[in-house]
Amino acid sequence: MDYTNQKHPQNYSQMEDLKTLDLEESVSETIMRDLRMIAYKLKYVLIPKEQEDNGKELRNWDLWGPLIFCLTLAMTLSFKADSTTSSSKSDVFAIIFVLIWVGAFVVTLNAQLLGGKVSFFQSVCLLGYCVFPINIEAIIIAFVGSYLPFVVKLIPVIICFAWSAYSSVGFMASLVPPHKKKLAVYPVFLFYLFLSWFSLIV
Amino acid sequence: MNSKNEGIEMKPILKQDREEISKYDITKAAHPGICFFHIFFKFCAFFSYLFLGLIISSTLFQYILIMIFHSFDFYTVKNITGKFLVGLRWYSDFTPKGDEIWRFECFDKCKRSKIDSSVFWTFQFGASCAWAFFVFTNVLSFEFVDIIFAGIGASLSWINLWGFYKCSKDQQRKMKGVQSYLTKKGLQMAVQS
Repeated sequence: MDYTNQKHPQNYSQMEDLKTLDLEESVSETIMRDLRMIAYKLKYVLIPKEQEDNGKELRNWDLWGPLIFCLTLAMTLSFKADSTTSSSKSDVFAIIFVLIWVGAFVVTLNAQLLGGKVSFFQSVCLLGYCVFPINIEAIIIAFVGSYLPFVVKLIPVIICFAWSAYSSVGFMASLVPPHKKKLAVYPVFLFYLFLSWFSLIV
Repeated sequence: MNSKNEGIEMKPILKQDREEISKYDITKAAHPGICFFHIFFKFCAFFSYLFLGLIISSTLFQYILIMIFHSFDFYTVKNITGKFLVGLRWYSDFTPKGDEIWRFECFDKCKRSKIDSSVFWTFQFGASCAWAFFVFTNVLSFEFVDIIFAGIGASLSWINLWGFYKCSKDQQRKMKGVQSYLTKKGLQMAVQS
Protein backbone atom coordinates (compact mmCIF):
# COMPACT_ATOMS: atom_id res chain seq x y z
CA MET A 1 0.00 0.00 0.00
CA ASP A 2 1.39 3.32 -0.95
CA TYR A 3 0.86 5.89 1.75
CA THR A 4 3.38 8.36 0.39
CA ASN A 5 0.88 10.22 -1.72
CA GLN A 6 -1.44 11.05 1.09
CA LYS A 7 -3.09 13.94 -0.67
CA HIS A 8 -4.72 11.72 -3.27
CA PRO A 9 -4.99 8.18 -1.98
CA GLN A 10 -5.22 5.60 -4.67
CA ASN A 11 -8.33 3.96 -3.43
CA TYR A 12 -10.93 4.17 -0.78
CA SER A 13 -9.59 1.33 1.31
CA GLN A 14 -6.21 2.99 1.61
CA MET A 15 -7.77 6.12 2.95
CA GLU A 16 -9.92 4.23 5.38
CA ASP A 17 -7.12 1.98 6.56
CA LEU A 18 -5.31 5.04 7.80
CA LYS A 19 -8.29 5.72 9.97
CA THR A 20 -9.19 2.22 11.03
CA LEU A 21 -6.92 2.53 14.01
CA ASP A 22 -9.01 5.36 15.22
CA LEU A 23 -12.59 4.68 14.27
CA GLU A 24 -13.68 7.94 15.71
CA GLU A 25 -12.82 9.88 12.58
CA SER A 26 -15.17 12.75 12.91
CA VAL A 27 -18.11 13.08 10.62
CA SER A 28 -16.92 16.43 9.35
CA GLU A 29 -13.63 14.90 8.27
CA THR A 30 -15.44 12.23 6.30
CA ILE A 31 -17.56 14.82 4.56
CA MET A 32 -14.64 17.14 3.80
CA ARG A 33 -12.60 14.29 2.42
CA ASP A 34 -15.40 13.30 0.08
CA LEU A 35 -15.89 16.88 -1.05
CA ARG A 36 -12.22 17.20 -1.81
CA MET A 37 -12.34 14.04 -3.86
CA ILE A 38 -15.21 15.39 -5.88
CA ALA A 39 -13.30 18.60 -6.61
CA TYR A 40 -10.20 16.66 -7.54
CA LYS A 41 -12.11 14.39 -9.89
CA LEU A 42 -13.82 17.35 -11.48
CA LYS A 43 -10.49 18.95 -12.31
CA TYR A 44 -9.20 15.63 -13.54
CA VAL A 45 -12.11 15.01 -15.85
CA LEU A 46 -12.48 18.47 -17.29
CA ILE A 47 -8.91 19.60 -17.71
CA PRO A 48 -7.43 17.18 -20.21
CA LYS A 49 -3.82 18.11 -19.34
CA GLU A 50 -4.21 16.31 -16.01
CA GLN A 51 -4.94 12.99 -17.64
CA GLU A 52 -1.67 11.20 -18.13
CA ASP A 53 -2.83 7.76 -17.24
CA ASN A 54 -5.82 7.18 -19.51
CA GLY A 55 -8.52 7.61 -17.01
CA LYS A 56 -7.20 5.34 -14.30
CA GLU A 57 -8.18 7.87 -11.70
CA LEU A 58 -11.76 7.27 -12.68
CA ARG A 59 -11.62 3.93 -10.99
CA ASN A 60 -12.41 5.83 -7.81
CA TRP A 61 -15.82 6.55 -9.14
CA ASP A 62 -18.43 8.23 -7.05
CA LEU A 63 -21.90 9.31 -7.94
CA TRP A 64 -22.10 12.31 -5.62
CA GLY A 65 -20.51 14.65 -8.14
CA PRO A 66 -22.96 13.70 -10.87
CA LEU A 67 -25.82 14.03 -8.42
CA ILE A 68 -24.78 17.53 -7.40
CA PHE A 69 -24.40 18.69 -11.00
CA CYS A 70 -27.62 17.04 -12.04
CA LEU A 71 -29.52 18.71 -9.21
CA THR A 72 -27.94 22.08 -9.95
CA LEU A 73 -28.77 21.87 -13.63
CA ALA A 74 -32.32 20.75 -12.95
CA MET A 75 -32.82 23.55 -10.43
CA THR A 76 -31.34 26.22 -12.70
CA LEU A 77 -33.46 25.24 -15.64
CA SER A 78 -36.64 24.88 -13.67
CA PHE A 79 -36.22 28.24 -11.98
CA LYS A 80 -35.82 29.74 -15.40
CA ALA A 81 -38.76 27.85 -16.82
CA ASP A 82 -42.05 29.36 -17.72
CA SER A 83 -43.62 30.35 -14.45
CA THR A 84 -47.23 30.53 -15.55
CA THR A 85 -48.00 27.25 -13.92
CA SER A 86 -45.97 25.71 -11.17
CA SER A 87 -46.42 22.28 -12.66
CA SER A 88 -44.30 23.06 -15.68
CA LYS A 89 -41.39 24.03 -13.43
CA SER A 90 -41.50 20.73 -11.65
CA ASP A 91 -41.95 18.93 -14.94
CA VAL A 92 -38.70 20.46 -16.17
CA PHE A 93 -36.97 19.35 -12.99
CA ALA A 94 -38.22 15.79 -13.31
CA ILE A 95 -37.41 15.69 -17.03
CA ILE A 96 -33.84 16.86 -16.58
CA PHE A 97 -33.29 14.54 -13.66
CA VAL A 98 -34.58 11.47 -15.41
CA LEU A 99 -32.90 12.48 -18.65
CA ILE A 100 -29.45 12.72 -17.15
CA TRP A 101 -29.55 9.46 -15.25
CA VAL A 102 -31.38 7.40 -17.84
CA GLY A 103 -29.28 8.95 -20.59
CA ALA A 104 -26.05 8.11 -18.81
CA PHE A 105 -27.34 4.60 -18.22
CA VAL A 106 -28.23 4.11 -21.88
CA VAL A 107 -24.94 5.50 -23.18
CA THR A 108 -23.02 3.24 -20.81
CA LEU A 109 -25.11 0.24 -21.80
CA ASN A 110 -24.43 1.04 -25.43
CA ALA A 111 -20.69 1.14 -24.82
CA GLN A 112 -20.81 -2.13 -22.91
CA LEU A 113 -22.86 -3.87 -25.58
CA LEU A 114 -20.39 -2.74 -28.21
CA GLY A 115 -17.78 -4.78 -26.45
CA GLY A 116 -16.27 -2.15 -24.20
CA LYS A 117 -14.93 -3.46 -20.93
CA VAL A 118 -15.66 -0.79 -18.43
CA SER A 119 -17.29 -0.72 -15.11
CA PHE A 120 -20.81 0.56 -15.36
CA PHE A 121 -20.38 3.05 -12.54
CA GLN A 122 -17.12 4.49 -13.83
CA SER A 123 -18.74 5.45 -17.07
CA VAL A 124 -21.84 6.92 -15.43
CA CYS A 125 -19.53 8.85 -13.11
CA LEU A 126 -17.59 10.28 -16.05
CA LEU A 127 -20.71 11.27 -17.97
CA GLY A 128 -22.10 12.91 -14.85
CA TYR A 129 -18.96 14.95 -14.22
CA CYS A 130 -18.92 16.12 -17.82
CA VAL A 131 -22.34 17.67 -17.28
CA PHE A 132 -20.56 20.42 -15.36
CA PRO A 133 -19.86 22.67 -18.40
CA ILE A 134 -23.53 22.46 -19.32
CA ASN A 135 -24.25 23.62 -15.79
CA ILE A 136 -22.04 26.63 -16.34
CA GLU A 137 -23.72 27.67 -19.54
CA ALA A 138 -27.18 27.11 -18.07
CA ILE A 139 -26.30 29.50 -15.24
CA ILE A 140 -24.85 32.06 -17.66
CA ILE A 141 -27.93 31.97 -19.83
CA ALA A 142 -30.22 32.08 -16.82
CA PHE A 143 -28.65 35.30 -15.61
CA VAL A 144 -28.00 37.24 -18.79
CA GLY A 145 -29.98 35.35 -21.38
CA SER A 146 -32.96 37.64 -21.46
CA TYR A 147 -30.80 40.59 -22.52
CA LEU A 148 -28.99 38.89 -25.33
CA PRO A 149 -30.10 37.98 -28.81
CA PHE A 150 -30.35 34.33 -29.64
CA VAL A 151 -27.18 34.20 -31.69
CA VAL A 152 -25.06 35.54 -28.86
CA LYS A 153 -26.56 33.00 -26.50
CA LEU A 154 -25.44 30.26 -28.85
CA ILE A 155 -21.78 31.00 -28.26
CA PRO A 156 -21.44 29.80 -24.65
CA VAL A 157 -23.76 26.91 -25.45
CA ILE A 158 -21.55 25.70 -28.25
CA ILE A 159 -18.34 26.20 -26.28
CA CYS A 160 -19.62 24.28 -23.28
CA PHE A 161 -21.11 21.53 -25.39
CA ALA A 162 -17.79 21.09 -27.15
CA TRP A 163 -15.98 21.03 -23.81
CA SER A 164 -18.29 18.35 -22.37
CA ALA A 165 -18.19 16.23 -25.45
CA TYR A 166 -14.43 16.46 -25.82
CA SER A 167 -13.81 15.52 -22.19
CA SER A 168 -15.97 12.46 -22.31
CA VAL A 169 -15.25 11.25 -25.82
CA GLY A 170 -11.59 10.63 -25.08
CA PHE A 171 -12.46 8.19 -22.35
CA MET A 172 -15.36 6.51 -24.11
CA ALA A 173 -13.48 6.00 -27.34
CA SER A 174 -10.66 4.25 -25.53
CA LEU A 175 -13.03 1.66 -24.18
CA VAL A 176 -14.34 0.04 -27.34
CA PRO A 177 -12.57 -1.70 -30.20
CA PRO A 178 -11.24 0.81 -32.76
CA HIS A 179 -13.67 -0.03 -35.54
CA LYS A 180 -16.60 0.66 -33.26
CA LYS A 181 -15.40 3.96 -31.89
CA LYS A 182 -17.88 6.08 -33.78
CA LEU A 183 -20.76 3.90 -32.66
CA ALA A 184 -19.80 4.38 -29.04
CA VAL A 185 -19.08 8.08 -29.32
CA TYR A 186 -22.19 9.11 -31.25
CA PRO A 187 -24.65 8.64 -28.32
CA VAL A 188 -22.40 10.72 -26.09
CA PHE A 189 -22.60 13.60 -28.55
CA LEU A 190 -26.33 13.17 -28.76
CA PHE A 191 -26.67 13.17 -24.99
CA TYR A 192 -24.80 16.42 -24.45
CA LEU A 193 -26.32 18.01 -27.53
CA PHE A 194 -29.77 17.37 -26.20
CA LEU A 195 -28.90 18.74 -22.77
CA SER A 196 -27.36 21.89 -24.24
CA TRP A 197 -30.28 22.45 -26.57
CA PHE A 198 -32.72 21.90 -23.73
CA SER A 199 -30.96 24.44 -21.57
CA LEU A 200 -31.10 26.92 -24.43
CA ILE A 201 -34.76 26.70 -25.19
CA VAL A 202 -36.21 26.38 -21.73
CA MET B 1 -32.28 -11.23 26.62
CA ASN B 2 -28.63 -11.55 27.39
CA SER B 3 -28.05 -9.14 30.19
CA LYS B 4 -24.29 -9.51 29.95
CA ASN B 5 -24.22 -7.27 26.88
CA GLU B 6 -23.20 -3.74 27.64
CA GLY B 7 -25.49 -0.98 26.87
CA ILE B 8 -28.81 -2.68 27.36
CA GLU B 9 -31.08 -1.21 29.90
CA MET B 10 -34.21 -3.25 30.16
CA LYS B 11 -37.00 -1.08 31.39
CA PRO B 12 -40.44 -2.39 32.19
CA ILE B 13 -42.72 -2.03 29.22
CA LEU B 14 -44.62 1.18 29.64
CA LYS B 15 -48.29 1.30 29.02
CA GLN B 16 -47.96 4.01 26.38
CA ASP B 17 -48.63 3.66 22.69
CA ARG B 18 -44.98 3.75 21.69
CA GLU B 19 -43.02 1.05 19.92
CA GLU B 20 -39.94 -0.83 20.99
CA ILE B 21 -38.07 2.38 21.81
CA SER B 22 -39.64 2.22 25.22
CA LYS B 23 -37.90 -1.08 25.84
CA TYR B 24 -34.47 0.35 25.30
CA ASP B 25 -33.07 3.50 26.71
CA ILE B 26 -31.77 5.35 23.72
CA THR B 27 -29.57 7.61 25.77
CA LYS B 28 -27.58 4.52 26.73
CA ALA B 29 -26.71 3.89 23.09
CA ALA B 30 -23.05 4.25 22.34
CA HIS B 31 -23.65 6.91 19.71
CA PRO B 32 -26.96 8.64 20.38
CA GLY B 33 -26.22 11.54 18.04
CA ILE B 34 -25.55 9.24 15.15
CA CYS B 35 -28.67 7.20 15.90
CA PHE B 36 -30.57 10.44 15.74
CA PHE B 37 -29.23 11.34 12.33
CA HIS B 38 -29.87 7.84 11.07
CA ILE B 39 -33.53 8.35 11.85
CA PHE B 40 -33.68 12.07 11.09
CA PHE B 41 -32.99 12.00 7.36
CA LYS B 42 -35.33 9.07 6.82
CA PHE B 43 -38.02 10.91 8.71
CA CYS B 44 -37.44 14.08 6.69
CA ALA B 45 -37.63 12.15 3.44
CA PHE B 46 -40.93 10.53 4.41
CA PHE B 47 -42.31 13.77 5.75
CA SER B 48 -41.48 15.74 2.63
CA TYR B 49 -42.81 12.99 0.40
CA LEU B 50 -46.11 12.72 2.25
CA PHE B 51 -46.85 16.09 3.75
CA LEU B 52 -44.75 18.80 2.17
CA GLY B 53 -47.39 19.35 -0.47
CA LEU B 54 -49.64 20.70 2.26
CA ILE B 55 -47.08 23.21 3.44
CA ILE B 56 -45.35 24.44 0.32
CA SER B 57 -47.39 24.98 -2.79
CA SER B 58 -44.50 24.76 -5.21
CA THR B 59 -44.02 21.17 -6.31
CA LEU B 60 -40.54 22.05 -7.50
CA PHE B 61 -39.26 22.65 -3.99
CA GLN B 62 -40.91 19.47 -2.84
CA TYR B 63 -39.01 17.48 -5.43
CA ILE B 64 -35.73 19.21 -4.66
CA LEU B 65 -36.08 18.59 -0.95
CA ILE B 66 -37.10 14.97 -1.39
CA MET B 67 -34.05 14.33 -3.58
CA ILE B 68 -31.78 16.09 -1.12
CA PHE B 69 -33.11 14.05 1.79
CA HIS B 70 -32.81 10.80 -0.15
CA SER B 71 -29.20 11.49 -1.00
CA PHE B 72 -28.31 12.68 2.51
CA ASP B 73 -29.92 9.60 3.99
CA PHE B 74 -28.03 7.28 1.65
CA TYR B 75 -24.71 9.02 2.29
CA THR B 76 -25.23 9.10 6.05
CA VAL B 77 -26.22 5.47 6.31
CA LYS B 78 -23.51 4.19 4.04
CA ASN B 79 -20.56 6.21 5.29
CA ILE B 80 -21.31 7.31 8.80
CA THR B 81 -24.08 5.36 10.45
CA GLY B 82 -22.98 1.95 9.25
CA LYS B 83 -19.46 2.51 10.50
CA PHE B 84 -20.38 3.79 13.93
CA LEU B 85 -23.56 1.92 14.77
CA VAL B 86 -22.82 -1.56 13.46
CA GLY B 87 -19.15 -1.38 12.54
CA LEU B 88 -19.60 -2.43 8.93
CA ARG B 89 -18.70 -0.88 5.64
CA TRP B 90 -19.02 -1.77 2.01
CA TYR B 91 -17.51 -0.10 -1.01
CA SER B 92 -16.10 -0.80 -4.41
CA ASP B 93 -12.43 -1.22 -4.92
CA PHE B 94 -10.30 -2.09 -7.89
CA THR B 95 -7.62 -4.71 -8.32
CA PRO B 96 -4.23 -3.77 -9.77
CA LYS B 97 -5.41 -5.23 -13.07
CA GLY B 98 -8.23 -2.71 -13.17
CA ASP B 99 -11.17 -4.96 -12.43
CA GLU B 100 -13.72 -3.71 -10.05
CA ILE B 101 -14.59 -5.68 -6.96
CA TRP B 102 -16.90 -4.99 -4.08
CA ARG B 103 -15.63 -5.24 -0.55
CA PHE B 104 -17.73 -5.95 2.50
CA GLU B 105 -15.92 -5.50 5.74
CA CYS B 106 -16.49 -5.36 9.44
CA PHE B 107 -14.50 -3.60 12.08
CA ASP B 108 -13.40 -5.71 15.01
CA LYS B 109 -12.77 -3.10 17.59
CA CYS B 110 -15.41 -0.48 17.84
CA LYS B 111 -17.70 0.32 20.69
CA ARG B 112 -21.10 -0.92 19.73
CA SER B 113 -24.15 -1.74 21.64
CA LYS B 114 -27.22 -3.75 20.94
CA ILE B 115 -29.30 -0.61 20.92
CA ASP B 116 -27.24 0.89 18.13
CA SER B 117 -27.53 -2.11 15.90
CA SER B 118 -31.21 -2.63 16.58
CA VAL B 119 -31.92 1.01 15.80
CA PHE B 120 -29.87 0.73 12.65
CA TRP B 121 -31.45 -2.44 11.31
CA THR B 122 -35.01 -1.64 12.39
CA PHE B 123 -35.11 1.75 10.77
CA GLN B 124 -33.25 0.75 7.66
CA PHE B 125 -35.48 -2.24 7.06
CA GLY B 126 -38.61 -0.34 7.99
CA ALA B 127 -37.81 2.56 5.70
CA SER B 128 -36.99 0.23 2.82
CA CYS B 129 -40.28 -1.61 3.19
CA ALA B 130 -42.22 1.63 3.48
CA TRP B 131 -40.69 3.06 0.30
CA ALA B 132 -41.36 -0.20 -1.52
CA PHE B 133 -44.97 0.05 -0.38
CA PHE B 134 -45.21 3.60 -1.71
CA VAL B 135 -43.77 2.55 -5.05
CA PHE B 136 -46.35 -0.20 -5.21
CA THR B 137 -49.26 2.12 -4.48
CA ASN B 138 -47.98 4.68 -6.99
CA VAL B 139 -47.71 2.04 -9.66
CA LEU B 140 -51.26 0.99 -8.97
CA SER B 141 -52.55 4.54 -9.14
CA PHE B 142 -50.44 5.51 -12.16
CA GLU B 143 -48.78 8.51 -10.55
CA PHE B 144 -45.63 8.44 -12.57
CA VAL B 145 -43.78 11.36 -11.08
CA ASP B 146 -44.30 10.05 -7.58
CA ILE B 147 -43.01 6.71 -8.76
CA ILE B 148 -39.70 8.36 -9.57
CA PHE B 149 -39.17 9.78 -6.11
CA ALA B 150 -40.51 6.84 -4.18
CA GLY B 151 -38.57 4.55 -6.49
CA ILE B 152 -35.34 6.40 -5.87
CA GLY B 153 -35.93 6.22 -2.13
CA ALA B 154 -36.75 2.54 -2.31
CA SER B 155 -33.76 1.65 -4.45
CA LEU B 156 -31.29 3.62 -2.31
CA SER B 157 -32.64 2.07 0.90
CA TRP B 158 -32.58 -1.44 -0.48
CA ILE B 159 -29.09 -0.98 -1.87
CA ASN B 160 -27.84 0.04 1.55
CA LEU B 161 -29.70 -2.81 3.19
CA TRP B 162 -28.23 -5.32 0.76
CA GLY B 163 -24.70 -3.95 1.22
CA PHE B 164 -24.85 -4.08 4.98
CA TYR B 165 -26.52 -7.48 4.95
CA LYS B 166 -23.60 -8.85 2.99
CA CYS B 167 -21.21 -7.20 5.45
CA SER B 168 -22.99 -8.76 8.39
CA LYS B 169 -22.79 -12.19 6.79
CA ASP B 170 -19.06 -11.66 6.54
CA GLN B 171 -19.06 -10.65 10.19
CA GLN B 172 -20.94 -13.79 11.20
CA ARG B 173 -18.56 -15.89 9.17
CA LYS B 174 -15.66 -14.32 11.01
CA MET B 175 -17.31 -14.92 14.36
CA LYS B 176 -17.85 -18.57 13.44
CA GLY B 177 -14.25 -18.75 12.35
CA VAL B 178 -13.09 -17.38 15.67
CA GLN B 179 -15.35 -19.74 17.57
CA SER B 180 -14.21 -22.82 15.69
CA TYR B 181 -10.59 -21.77 16.17
CA LEU B 182 -11.10 -21.41 19.90
CA THR B 183 -12.91 -24.73 20.04
CA LYS B 184 -10.05 -26.45 18.27
CA LYS B 185 -7.55 -24.87 20.60
CA GLY B 186 -9.59 -25.93 23.60
CA LEU B 187 -9.80 -29.49 22.33
CA GLN B 188 -6.09 -29.57 21.65
CA MET B 189 -5.32 -28.38 25.14
CA ALA B 190 -7.75 -30.88 26.61
CA VAL B 191 -6.16 -33.68 24.64
CA GLN B 192 -2.64 -32.66 25.59
CA SER B 193 -3.37 -32.32 29.29
